[in-house]
Amino acid sequence: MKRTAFIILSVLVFPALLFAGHEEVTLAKPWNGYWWPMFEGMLATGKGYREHPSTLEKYDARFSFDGKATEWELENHFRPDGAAWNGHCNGWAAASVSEVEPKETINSEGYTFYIGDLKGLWTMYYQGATGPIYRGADDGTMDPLTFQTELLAYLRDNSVPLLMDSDATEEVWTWPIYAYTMDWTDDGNIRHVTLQVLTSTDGVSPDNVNTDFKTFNYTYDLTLEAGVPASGVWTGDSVSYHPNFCWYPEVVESGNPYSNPYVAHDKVAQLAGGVYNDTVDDGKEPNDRFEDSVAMQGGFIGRVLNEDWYGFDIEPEEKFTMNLYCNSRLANSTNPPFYAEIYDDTGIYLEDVGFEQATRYPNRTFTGVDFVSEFLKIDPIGNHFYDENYQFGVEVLSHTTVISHTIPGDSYWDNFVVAGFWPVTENKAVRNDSDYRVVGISGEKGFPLDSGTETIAGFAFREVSLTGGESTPDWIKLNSMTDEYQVYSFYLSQGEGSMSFMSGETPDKELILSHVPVEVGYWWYGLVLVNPSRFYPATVDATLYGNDGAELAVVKIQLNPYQKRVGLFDSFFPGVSQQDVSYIRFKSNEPITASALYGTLNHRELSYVPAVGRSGWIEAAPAEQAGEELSFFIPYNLLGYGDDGWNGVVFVEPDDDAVSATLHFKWIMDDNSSVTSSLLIGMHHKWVGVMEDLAPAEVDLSHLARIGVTVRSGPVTGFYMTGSHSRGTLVSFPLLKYFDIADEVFPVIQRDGLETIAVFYNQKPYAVNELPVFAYDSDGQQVGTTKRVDMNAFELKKVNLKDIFTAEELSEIKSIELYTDSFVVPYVIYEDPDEVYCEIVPPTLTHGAE
Amino acid sequence: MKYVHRAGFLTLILLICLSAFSAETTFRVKGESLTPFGTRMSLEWKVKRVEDSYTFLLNNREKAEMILKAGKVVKIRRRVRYAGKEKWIVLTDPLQIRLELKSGFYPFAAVLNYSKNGSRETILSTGRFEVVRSTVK
Repeated sequence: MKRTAFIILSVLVFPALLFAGHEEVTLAKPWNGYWWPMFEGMLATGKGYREHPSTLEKYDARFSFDGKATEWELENHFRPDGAAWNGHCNGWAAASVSEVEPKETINSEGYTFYIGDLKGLWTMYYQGATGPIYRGADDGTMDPLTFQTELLAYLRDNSVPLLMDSDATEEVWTWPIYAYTMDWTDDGNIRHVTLQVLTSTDGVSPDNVNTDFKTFNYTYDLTLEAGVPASGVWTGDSVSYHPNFCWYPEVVESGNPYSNPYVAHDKVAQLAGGVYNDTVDDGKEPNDRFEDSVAMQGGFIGRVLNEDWYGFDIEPEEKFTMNLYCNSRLANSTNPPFYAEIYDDTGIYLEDVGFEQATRYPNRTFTGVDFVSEFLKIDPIGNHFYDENYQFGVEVLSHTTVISHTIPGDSYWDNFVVAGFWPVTENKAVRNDSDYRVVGISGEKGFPLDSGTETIAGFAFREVSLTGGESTPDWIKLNSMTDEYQVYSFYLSQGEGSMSFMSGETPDKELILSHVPVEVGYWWYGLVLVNPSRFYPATVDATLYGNDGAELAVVKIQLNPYQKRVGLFDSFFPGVSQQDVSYIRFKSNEPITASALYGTLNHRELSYVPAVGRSGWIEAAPAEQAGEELSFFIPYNLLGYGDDGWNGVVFVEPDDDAVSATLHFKWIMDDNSSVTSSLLIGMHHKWVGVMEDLAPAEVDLSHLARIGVTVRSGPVTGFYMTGSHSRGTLVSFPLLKYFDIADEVFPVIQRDGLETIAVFYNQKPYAVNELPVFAYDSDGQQVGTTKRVDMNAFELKKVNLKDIFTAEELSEIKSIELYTDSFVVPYVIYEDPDEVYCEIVPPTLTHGAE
Repeated sequence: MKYVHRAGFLTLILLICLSAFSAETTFRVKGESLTPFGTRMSLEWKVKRVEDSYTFLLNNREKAEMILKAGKVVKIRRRVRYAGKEKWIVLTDPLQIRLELKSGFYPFAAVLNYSKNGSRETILSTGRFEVVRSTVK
């Protein structure tokens, strides 16, 4: 394919001898493609190309990667706010010279990959390619002699294209040069050169196979020594615009940070070498009749070759949209690419799934009033070519609160749940009412736990049914169209004398469980994992870290939609010694909840610690605030047990990108004097111990009032623990970020002899007066008058509701609102004066002002 | 005369030893190569020397060859992938070779320096290489 013309014209011009020359080389043009800009994340999101299923969603499904390739791309190459020039031009250029151009749509096990999909996968693979890089003589931008020498070396002498970065600024624009034309004249020892190079282009649409090219023109002078070029300078416009560097892709090293690690050469080559087959099965399901319908699962990718039937449930107080994506939609802008119809649970047609002109997808929003099962039929349109891929996308629009663990009533523990909500709308107005339904999940299927929709007006907590007339569910959730609910699940073992609680969890894709205790004879340690999605399965990687910060093991845990897994440490991680594990990180392709349960074999104690997502990590304080105690604080001796109490703390530095976490402590005594100390925690290390181990020797713990902490480098996560040696009490507390004003609502429990005690812990060295206490009934109406509490410096004040409200008022009260100032920690203790146990509910610090 | 014979014999022995010593040598070279992104990537090369030919292996795969004559590099070959096939790029032009030594992806210059003067470390504008171990077979 190389065509070399080497013409040297010698012209005698009086009085000097002037030589002129011409040289041109043309190779086969590397393929054109697309640069897949990172602000679009197109290979993962599909936006701007063929939407869903995106290139990587199909690749993940084809090779059973559980969405990992898509997730990696979204995390690493999707930068909606990044620089506009960031993209995959280097990956495309490297792929275009290294691989044969994909020119046909192929189908592999039912998954259709278009030309753009295949070019995109090659581009992604070569995104991390590197090789020899040729720069200028002074290591700066390319000088013309180096550029010319490499053009000759690659194109003329070896018939191989050369890649160039055409822009000498920080922006990188990579182009494969496949042809050049060079003309020159010699004037004494100066050679004046004009050079034109042709490159392939990444400015075509992804599916395009065409002959477009780009042209770059340069001029420069070479200085000759003994007739041989020895140096060169750019001239004319090329002084300011010339290539930055040239290179050729020779290695794609595994583990490089730029290539998607799930996109492998052999797999892409397998796809690129495939053929189109329009008779291969339409997915993985034999669901061609109503009777053979299968559960609809979000993300599922199938083919529209014949009828496909799916079943799905709609829960009360739930709202979700169902999109039926299809790659071939672009050719069908005014009509749906296939029929999609909804049927009831007896097989009677209800309605069509609407076709949204804006998105050009069949699309339907479902709003649940009660528990309903419906069915979806997807049907190819006759006489049309719709054997391409469709995909389900489900987005839940309503609010869900998860209590991930319940205890059957016939055990040692009595389990009861209360739920309330924060009655403030998005524009900060007080809401008048809020509807919710409580759903129990057993065997990965939901059922009602109440007789109908509940309505709460204002601040109120209500006890919710835990059985709904059936057996205790595996876990429970609250659905609400309008509000987030604060939910507490209490566990009471009256006979054995212990109490604990679990609060509603926020599902997340990355969670840190910051403490795995060493095995002690009378303790057990277990885990609870829940996939709260009814539509998407979750694949979880649990990374176990050792005490030296090293990864001990990565254990894969699969959770079906709505599945809960609970068990002792050994059942999750067989073969791993609990003694060796410091903490656990869960990473999942879908949001999950994870939490730990600690207990004693004699049922005296039970405690629950939720895993924390990144939003709960405490980042390093700004440098200008170093020295202030603005990161978080630890309320010491919260229970006021004195010598009978104990206090401990756990810190973990969980971030892959941080070298270590540095914590600076300010130990503030009740005479307002203070002592400082520091703690360094290495990456993936943990510090755990009692306060006696953490405090400097000069700190007298009996006079300690507050521990202020500044995170100088981080982040850090963890929790605070407190309990008593004689009572059945083990309480874990989140690290309390600094707050200004706290506004907290707590449930008031009046059962099993429990009394509710409002607690204010003034950790400031001066008095605070008239902190208000509001009480509300089950409809959110205020009960009695607002009470006021005065506090001295560093005072821990317990206010038993029965001492400030009348018995009549108390019988109506379902919740209290505590409004406090900075460093005055509001919380609630539940205790039975006749029993030894009690429980503390800490503030959420989600309301008020930071 | 007797001493001359003895010296000649010793020289012969020494030459035989040196010849055996240099017949096949394996180096291990740690490199930090520059990427098109301006960052560095750690690579570890194995370099086999037979006479004046040095073969460069990455992940046990032969990637390049450098041939010396009278202490000068006269030829460099690199294995590349082009249009779906493997192909050797061959460089013999002195200027092309000079730029190749400078390009810093392959540890050509580091190995050249080491073979010439025993210098273990070579720092180029685009890469940093260190001969971390040499063994004699």
